[in-house]
Amino acid sequence: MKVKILSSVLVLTFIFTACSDWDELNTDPNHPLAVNVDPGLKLGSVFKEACLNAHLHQRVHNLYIDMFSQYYTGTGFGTYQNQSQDGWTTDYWNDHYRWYNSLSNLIDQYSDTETYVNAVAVMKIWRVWITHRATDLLGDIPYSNVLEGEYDSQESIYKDMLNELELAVANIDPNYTMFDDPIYGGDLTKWTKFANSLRLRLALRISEVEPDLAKTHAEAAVAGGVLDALADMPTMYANTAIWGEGYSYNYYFWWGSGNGVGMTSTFYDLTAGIGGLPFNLSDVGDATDYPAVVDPRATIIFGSSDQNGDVQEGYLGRWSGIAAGLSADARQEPENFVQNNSRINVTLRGDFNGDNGRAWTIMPIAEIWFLRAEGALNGWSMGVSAQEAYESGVAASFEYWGLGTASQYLASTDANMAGISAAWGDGNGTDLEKVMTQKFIGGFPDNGWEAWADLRRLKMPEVDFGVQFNTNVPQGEVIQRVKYPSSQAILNEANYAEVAASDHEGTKMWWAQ
Amino acid sequence: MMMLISVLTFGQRTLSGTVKDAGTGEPIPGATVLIKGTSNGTTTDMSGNYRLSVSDDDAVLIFSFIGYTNFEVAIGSRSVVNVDLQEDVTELGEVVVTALGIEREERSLAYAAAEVDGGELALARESNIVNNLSGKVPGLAVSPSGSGMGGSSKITIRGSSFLSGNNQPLIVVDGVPIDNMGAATDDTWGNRQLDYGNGLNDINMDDVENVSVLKGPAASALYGSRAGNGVIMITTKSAKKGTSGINFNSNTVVEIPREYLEMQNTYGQGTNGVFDAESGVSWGPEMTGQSVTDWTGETKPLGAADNDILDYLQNGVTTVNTLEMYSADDKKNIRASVGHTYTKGIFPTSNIQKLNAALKGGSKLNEVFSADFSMNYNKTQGENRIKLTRDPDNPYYSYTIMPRSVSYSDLERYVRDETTYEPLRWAQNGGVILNPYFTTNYSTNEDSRNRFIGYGKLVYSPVDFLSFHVRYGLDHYDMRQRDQLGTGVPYWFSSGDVRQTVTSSTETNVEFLGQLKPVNLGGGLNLSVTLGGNLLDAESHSQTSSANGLVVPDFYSLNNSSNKDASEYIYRRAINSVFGMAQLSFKEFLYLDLTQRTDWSSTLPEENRSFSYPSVGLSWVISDSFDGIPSWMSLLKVRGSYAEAGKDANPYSLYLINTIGASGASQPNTKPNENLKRELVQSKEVGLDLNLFESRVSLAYTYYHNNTVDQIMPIPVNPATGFSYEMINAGDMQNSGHEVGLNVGVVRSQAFRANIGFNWAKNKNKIIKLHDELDRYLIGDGLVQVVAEEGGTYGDIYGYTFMTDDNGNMILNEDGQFQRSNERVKLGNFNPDWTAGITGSASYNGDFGAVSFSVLFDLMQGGDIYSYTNAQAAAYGTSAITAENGRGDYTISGVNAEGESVTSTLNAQQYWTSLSSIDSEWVYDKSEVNLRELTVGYSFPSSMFGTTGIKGVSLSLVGRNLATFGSKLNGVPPYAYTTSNQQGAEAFSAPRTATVGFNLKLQF
Repeated sequence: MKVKILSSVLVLTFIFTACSDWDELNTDPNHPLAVNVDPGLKLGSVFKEACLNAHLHQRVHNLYIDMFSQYYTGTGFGTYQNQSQDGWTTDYWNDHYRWYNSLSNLIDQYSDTETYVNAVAVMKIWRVWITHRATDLLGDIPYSNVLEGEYDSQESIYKDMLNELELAVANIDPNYTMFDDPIYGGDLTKWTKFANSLRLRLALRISEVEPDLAKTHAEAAVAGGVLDALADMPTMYANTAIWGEGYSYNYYFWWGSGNGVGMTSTFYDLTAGIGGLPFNLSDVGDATDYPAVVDPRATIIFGSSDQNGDVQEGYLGRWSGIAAGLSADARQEPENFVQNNSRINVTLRGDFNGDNGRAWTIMPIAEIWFLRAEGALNGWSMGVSAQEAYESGVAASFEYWGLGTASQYLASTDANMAGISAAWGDGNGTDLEKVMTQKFIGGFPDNGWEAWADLRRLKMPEVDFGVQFNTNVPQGEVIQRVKYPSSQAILNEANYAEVAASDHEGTKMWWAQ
Repeated sequence: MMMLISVLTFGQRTLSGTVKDAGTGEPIPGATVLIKGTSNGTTTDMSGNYRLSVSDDDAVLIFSFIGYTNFEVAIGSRSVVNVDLQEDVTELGEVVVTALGIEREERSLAYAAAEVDGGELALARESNIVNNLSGKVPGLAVSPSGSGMGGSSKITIRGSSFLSGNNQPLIVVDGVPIDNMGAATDDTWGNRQLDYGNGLNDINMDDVENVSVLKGPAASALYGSRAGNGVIMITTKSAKKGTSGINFNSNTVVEIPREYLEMQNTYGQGTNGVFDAESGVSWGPEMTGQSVTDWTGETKPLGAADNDILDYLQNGVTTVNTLEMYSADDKKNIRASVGHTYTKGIFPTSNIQKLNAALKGGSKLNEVFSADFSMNYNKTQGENRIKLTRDPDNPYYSYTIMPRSVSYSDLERYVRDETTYEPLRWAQNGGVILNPYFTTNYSTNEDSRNRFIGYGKLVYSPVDFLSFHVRYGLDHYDMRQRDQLGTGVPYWFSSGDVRQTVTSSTETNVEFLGQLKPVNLGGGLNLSVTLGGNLLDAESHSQTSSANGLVVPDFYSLNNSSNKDASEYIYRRAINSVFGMAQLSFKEFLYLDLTQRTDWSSTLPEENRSFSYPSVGLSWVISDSFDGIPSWMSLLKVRGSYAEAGKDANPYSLYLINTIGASGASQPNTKPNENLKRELVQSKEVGLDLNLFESRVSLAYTYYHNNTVDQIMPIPVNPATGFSYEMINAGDMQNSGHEVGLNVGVVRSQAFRANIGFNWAKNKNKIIKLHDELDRYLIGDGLVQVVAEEGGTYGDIYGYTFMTDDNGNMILNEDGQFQRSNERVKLGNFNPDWTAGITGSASYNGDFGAVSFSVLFDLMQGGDIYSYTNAQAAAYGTSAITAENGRGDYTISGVNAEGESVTSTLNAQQYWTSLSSIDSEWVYDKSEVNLRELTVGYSFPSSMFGTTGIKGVSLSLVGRNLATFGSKLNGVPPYAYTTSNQQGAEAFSAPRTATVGFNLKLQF
């Protein structure tokens, strides 16, 4: 009896204690609940991560895109051999859809709220930004119905993105304010110009496959006003002193196998001999083996082998690059070691510790001028002539690098190793070749995505692809895309089956047929 | 029925006698004397004497004492029964400490339990108690994390039960669950991960009375949630009734690095046979004393000198001195001890100091009230523990790739350029590779931990058959961990940095227990009932601060930076529980155990907050059930049980949070789940115990079959949802296996005794089901992947192999080199097929004193591991295999991309570099035999000391880990780099070491 009474007392005691505030105990004191976080705060990270997520930047931006576009090179990674890296793509894919969903959820949540009209417009612009990156990397991707994982054709995605940009700009209402975004601090005029510039980029992307639609959008974008001043250039500040917040090429520089961020011979060939200006020794430190005439931007971007602490004896003083597609045997030759060639200049990578704290370029002003130049060459109404746009683009690039006037450079008929000069209409290269050469050089250091797109769309500028390591990609062509994450075949089996046959690196973009 | 009647009808008389140690002849105080088949009994006094009332001549007395073999004797008509108890040299004691510290006769247990005597562990000790259990308990696997001195070990009992999360048993010290910590990281980059050792290291081995291993949930259902992986229960020493004394124990061992990767000493720094002072690899020329200008800038003969890790390392020393006193009478008992441990590690400048103080006592105020308590204080201070895996500061990493012509004496002379602070090393392009002297001089670390583990317990026994207690248990520690990177370090912040984490953790358990002692229900039935409850409350706060980049060089303070970071983590969990346990026995040969427990956990949603789980067990001592069982069959018992153990989620797993960073708020990758429920381990086991010839031969066999269902784990979801993973309850994983223990007393004379023990365990795992949407789950990803596949086995290792065509021909690349496959394939499984231990012991007692000898081998058969050390050493040309054919060419054949047969000739550098990226080439069979322990002891005869007051002096020579046989990893120990579930890869672990030394025990 006693036992019974005591045990019931015990049980009761516990039932009562069990009713205390357990929910509070299990509420995370370390992080706020998502429902309590202001939407603007969530957006900040989507903006920043899409540009500067260090993990992705290293893998996708640097080791995929920069390698594919021959912006930089390093022989130690599979991407040098035009191979997909499943883990990298997986990480990018996962992050992309996390951003995409965050944006879509917020857009849905606020699309009926009048005071958020501008915020919704900006979120849509940014959703196009992240989407054009993803589709340019992969081709067809889930877009209109991401929750079901249905793949949309790149054609439909592009057409929808162009419409989205048009609508977003139309919806911007200066009577309402915008949140303090990390790119323009809520400046709606700049956002409008940025959206139009992006629309111009997308229009030219499809100009080979949908010339009429491209013309319509391009002309409307320019008429609506595109970015043309360095002060308006969209950038993201990277505090590279904090790991994870920003990416410094330096991490790859020191940690990577193959010791990357080396100059490519493509870059050498494009910049050596052009512009009529002497090689600027003061940019690179000591050098003994360098071209007499070189593009003045080139020595700012790449230093001499003297700057490499690990340069081998006999290879000092070289200002030189490494060819793409070197055979394994050729890669064993010391002259082809990155350490014995030019690496990204100390002015870019900062000295030793990656603390270069520079603003990362989202879209260079020069590129927008070159887009207009290409449009003008197509016969579109771009507000300026092709030559004016071309020369403004070169000047914008010179301004970006602090080089002052470009007039002497633009007057020079000296040709680079590919036979192309800076002067307009001198016969050393076609007009389009000149534009694309300057777009390639003017895209440094951050615009490798566009250079890769141009290599796929126009095969310009002309570059040497070397040995083709990937049997899916024809000899003499750039890798066209990377493979979907392998998890798609498992987690999204039915939908993936529809794209599985074309899931290799040789499948061309819709816009690059 | 006849027996029952006879017990009830006869009258009473008094019996007396003395209980002595058969070996030494010393009286045994505190021994239990029990009338078989009843709960009547007594204990011996300080002189080993007892008095007892008995009711009939047929009564059988059972004499027992911890550490001795039980002795049964029929009293007949005698009034004096003197007994000599034999010391029990078997590992499986007869009285076993079970859940909640309840001591029970092993014969009544329905499940396998194992107990190891503390004295045995303390003799040939390691810094980690669990390492000492290796080979002694069937089914218990210990894997050191490869970080050497003071490092942590991974313990699993009967295989791994959980796909995600902790698979290690709960550690309980004197009934108080403690935080065992560990070095659980999948990160192979090292990233400054240090192994601070297991929480168990905080216990002084000299304070340990015994260690009980409760293997399945059957044994541990009463510890609730966390006992699903089994329980390791440590009971600290206490004073036994009627004893008093002072002991001083001194144990000193030397730790000698004895084996590491077999290296070549023929070819020096350089590539393709040409010397290069800037090269990071050892593919240079044959070293014949030719004159070269090496990385130091000096011109000297090229040779292999002072380049062996075993020379770079030092011999470690561990000295433990413990003074204890104990005293107990009928009413009170107290034991106190102070211990000091100094360990000098094998890694230069590393050391650990420990101070332990323990106090344990009890008082029986009167027949109704008593109380007891235990307090263990520990202070641990460590310096320069080794960073793990691929961290540049890991000296075993730099050794693995260091060109063979580089010497440690040069590295010691050229550590840092004092103008630029740049560390000096053999190759500047090996940017992350550090001079190990830079690590010991500048990139140092230190830590300290103050810990208190203890309890207080009040017992109230209003009547004989009832007792209640309330008990408050506490595990609290404050810990500070600090590490720095020296000014000049070539990565992160080149001006150096400081990082410090301060943690304060407290777990309290308040337990209420009511016990109905065995009552005779008539008809030979006895019933005992225990009802109880427990309130668990755990909270820890940790705060990490860092100075990112020092302003003043070489001044290592958090203040010395303009870029400081701080973050914190707070952990909270509470579980309230009620439980009940009933034991019904029939005539001392049939025992039925029933338990039930209900938990309320703070980490689960309201509707799933409480969960209940039962157990039932039956033990049948057949040998006592029938007449006519031959007398040589001392015990024949069969047992069987079914048990469940529920487990809650991790805190904060229910609701979506955002993390706040420099760029705003972001959403985690894993989608939380507001409907999580408990995960559940379901365990069945059956077993047999057989003792023959007065227990000279004892055999224990167990078969178990466990399923873990509704596992809480993150499963990958289509990332289009915005999440990469979602937490769910799913899965069914099965472990089944056999355990055998055999013990044979070969010789059992008064003077000479010899004993052989053998134990063996085999576990088989099967993934029955993962999830409808998922047939492959990634357990760990580092160097190689460890996965669980539906229908497969936990711990399958996946990695790349050679690229082959459909006909199995190797596809070579355009340079005729090996290519790695596009897909990962199964390369092995990290779980051994079986493990075993063999012990031998002998002792001889003579006028000259007593000598004893013991030896322990442990065996592991099967199981695979990927060795990154071997793969990297091959790529860098340092290991012996890279010189096997004198650096001649290799001819390999296969097909090219077009499918045509090709043959190519590669030089040694091309061949091994190409081969090093083929994971399948670096997976090894882990099978090996270890001579784990060897001791020789001598006890001086007590007659020698006369009136000096000394009761005993014994001296032992001890050795551990003396030799390894059959290892296939070219000298590298097969230990994973982490204590997480990623046990499939080894990376730059510490060398094998042997410890030898002596133990001196003085008893006053």
